Amino acid sequence: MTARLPLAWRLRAAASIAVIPPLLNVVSFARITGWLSGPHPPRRTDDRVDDEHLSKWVNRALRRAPGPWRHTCLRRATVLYYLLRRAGRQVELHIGVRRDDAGGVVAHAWLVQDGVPYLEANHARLASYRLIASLPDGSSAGRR
Amino acid sequence: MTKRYRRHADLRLTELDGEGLALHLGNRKYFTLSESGLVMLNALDKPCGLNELVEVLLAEYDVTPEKAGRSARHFLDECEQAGLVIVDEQA
Repeated sequence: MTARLPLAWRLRAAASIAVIPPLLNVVSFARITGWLSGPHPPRRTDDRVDDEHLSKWVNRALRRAPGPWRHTCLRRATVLYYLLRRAGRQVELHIGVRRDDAGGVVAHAWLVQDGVPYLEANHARLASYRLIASLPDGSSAGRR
Repeated sequence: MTKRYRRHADLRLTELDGEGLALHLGNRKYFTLSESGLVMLNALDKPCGLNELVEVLLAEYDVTPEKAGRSARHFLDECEQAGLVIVDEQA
């Protein structure tokens, strides 16, 4: 039997997807980091939600979403960061950069828990990224 | 009137393949920096006047004070236009 995301969490995830991606387009990312991060450390763990299931639900929703809500690594990571912090998980959001073959800058955003990439399909490729920013602010090596 | 500058609070810095890179979390734009640019932006985590930045360059590089002054002034002008530094106070 496939576990379902509890209704309350599906509603919360839907609301987060509705609000956070367009908010990122109009408000400075740095300005909403406090709100995104929630209490630090997170208050209590909500065991009703399965993190993998939540991640898959958010991925599917973002991939089906139009324009300003369409899946990008930053939108996905930010939505999941917000939701998982509310579920009491001590996750961090990392933004890293690397050079592509043409010498341009490529960025990626992903989650980390206990120092290890979390809910990320391809851990190996993250080794090529240089960390430049992390949430909560000051949580990891990205210099301010 | 003496201007003091400091780095924008939304700016994050790193080194990438020997070059400096600045990410502005506000507008999510990236800026490539020279080595000396990265040195100056690092120094600007606290308010600095032009003279203090020149001292930073002189401590780091073998250049004349005049050249350091021109470089620092040009860099500050460009950074102020790009929103990477703000004027912290004027006296």
